Amino acid sequence: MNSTDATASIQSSIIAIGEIMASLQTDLAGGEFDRKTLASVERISLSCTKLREYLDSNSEPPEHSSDTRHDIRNLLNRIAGPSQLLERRFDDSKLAAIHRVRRLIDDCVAVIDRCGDDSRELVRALESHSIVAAATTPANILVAEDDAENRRFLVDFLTSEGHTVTLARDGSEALAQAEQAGFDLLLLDLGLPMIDGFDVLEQLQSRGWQTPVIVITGRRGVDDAVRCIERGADDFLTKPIQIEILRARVKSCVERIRLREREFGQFFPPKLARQFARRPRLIHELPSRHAEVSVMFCDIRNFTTRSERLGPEKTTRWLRGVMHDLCEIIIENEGVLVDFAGDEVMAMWGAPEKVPDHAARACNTAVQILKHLPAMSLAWYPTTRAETELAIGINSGRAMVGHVGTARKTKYGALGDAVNVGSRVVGATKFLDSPLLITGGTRDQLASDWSTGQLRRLCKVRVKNIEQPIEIYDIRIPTEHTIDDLAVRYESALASFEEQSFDQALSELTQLLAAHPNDGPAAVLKARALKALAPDAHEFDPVWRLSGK
Amino acid sequence: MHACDSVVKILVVEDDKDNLDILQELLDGEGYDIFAADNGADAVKLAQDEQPAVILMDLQMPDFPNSGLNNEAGLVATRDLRSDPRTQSIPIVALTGFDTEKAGAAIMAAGCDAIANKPYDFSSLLETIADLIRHR
Repeated sequence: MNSTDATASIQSSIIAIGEIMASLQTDLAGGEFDRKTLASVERISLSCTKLREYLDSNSEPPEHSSDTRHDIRNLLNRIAGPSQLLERRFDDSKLAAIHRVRRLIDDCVAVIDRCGDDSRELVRALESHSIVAAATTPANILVAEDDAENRRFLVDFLTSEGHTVTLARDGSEALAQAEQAGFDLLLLDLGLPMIDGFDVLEQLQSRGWQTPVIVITGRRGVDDAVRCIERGADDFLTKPIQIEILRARVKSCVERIRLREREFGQFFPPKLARQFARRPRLIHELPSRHAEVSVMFCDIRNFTTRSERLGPEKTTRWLRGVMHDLCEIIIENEGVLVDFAGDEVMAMWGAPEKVPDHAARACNTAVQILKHLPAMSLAWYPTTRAETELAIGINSGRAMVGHVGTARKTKYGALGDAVNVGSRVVGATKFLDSPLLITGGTRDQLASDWSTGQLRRLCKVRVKNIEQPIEIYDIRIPTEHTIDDLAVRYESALASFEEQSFDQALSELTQLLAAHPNDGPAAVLKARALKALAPDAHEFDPVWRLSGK
Repeated sequence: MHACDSVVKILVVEDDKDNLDILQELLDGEGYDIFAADNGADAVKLAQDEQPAVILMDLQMPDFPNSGLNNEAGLVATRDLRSDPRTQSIPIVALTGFDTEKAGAAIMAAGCDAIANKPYDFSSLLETIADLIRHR
């Protein structure tokens, strides 16, 4: 078809549409039709005019210019759109006219499609800009194919695409190889000897295999391929295999594993996420056991009051934004995200993988979060019109860890006193007026040279249902000014307080506050000392009993 | 805390104003809350901020208006959306004039969840959108 023909053909279709519209307008003028209907008809007429003007003035014929084809498609859409809207409004008498319009549009589209193959351009663009490549990282692929030539073709092609290929020549080899961890994709020929493809698939399914499978079959085997897909295969290819289709399908399957990795990566550190993405059943197989862990609770302060003021939409955006940043920092530090419930996130270190420095990692994560807080607060200020404040509590100890979710919901978490204490400690931040508190249990696990933040013993607390009083420390974020003696002076005042030398404690605290007027814990301790001196003071107990959260 | 989910938000990324109007009229009529961008960069930012339930992405937007040289702004935006954890799970419907037979696999591999060919069949577009929202 030469350029005159394509343009002429489209022109004549458009003229026909214009005539239909003109006669519709006459019809409608006499009757009762709403504004929208009339507007759509007008729009179609206008769009027809525009398209005709475009064709008249455009020197690039559609055969030679993909831009022209793009423009024509857009202009056709402007006609197709309102005509479909009309379809919904007209009764039978007018519908015939609209159907004709639709057919005329289809004719135009057919003409355009014959003028040139833009899809090749698209595929080229995708490849040259590595856009598809960005969707695929090199993968570990198992190829189960008994025909040597086909095998060689697949190996050559896949390795040239940057993937790592392992071979299996028959069904039992395929099953043996599949047991080795770490495949991103299985290309499975249905006609394998020993155990055929379908049986391999069945066996893999029963072992909880969740890695994508593409089955390969001859032309006549399409029914078999469909059976496999019903059995759980993800896709199929027919021989002779076309490279573009193979490439696209491999990429799409590998992308799916990456997606699952990202999903598990929401809760688990990258290495574990990769393992679970391939065998989600592994999570259920993780042993339940006792482990030494550190748990961290991080709350958004004043969340309820803020959310009432902001309303649901802004609150959700703010919450999601803050949670996103917190979770990123936790995952970067290889923590396991156990849960988020409303405005609180709980993370854990030390399980499922044993990690000797779990306490340091938890504390370092908390410090990193507080260092990031000013920037985050600033970013959300336009939405919340207030500072975002966080409260963090960390405890370490023995807990029972394991998969505590269900088959539908993955939740790897911890249970026991160590966890309950951690959750109380974050609540104590309010009373002690310090954003980051850790327990003696955590402190004891920190190496003596841990210096990511400044530690200070704040007081002892008693938590409901737990007999032993718990030492509470706070961590101050290092700045250039933290080579100071605040911690030493405070701890000295605390010692006086615990020995009931309240006047001594008061005098030390007053001096301390003169030098550090913003120190919350010092002010709190001072208030406690004053209260202990008051004439109506109860029997003194240096251990602070924490009420419920 | 429950988000107010009764209105479903859809982001439409389309540089052609008339086509955008048509989509808006169609989707408004179905009760969706539409907001729009006419270029890739704005689209990504809007998606991050507004968290729409679905994104309709014209794949053939020019990077610069009327440049005609690079019609891939939509693809670049798709890639950016797919690699950002804030937006990677938002379904994307590719709006395109290409022959789906040949380009379909490549479009899906680029990260789109569905394809609508221009000129659109509105009924199937609406069904596709409803499906994607239902299965999120």
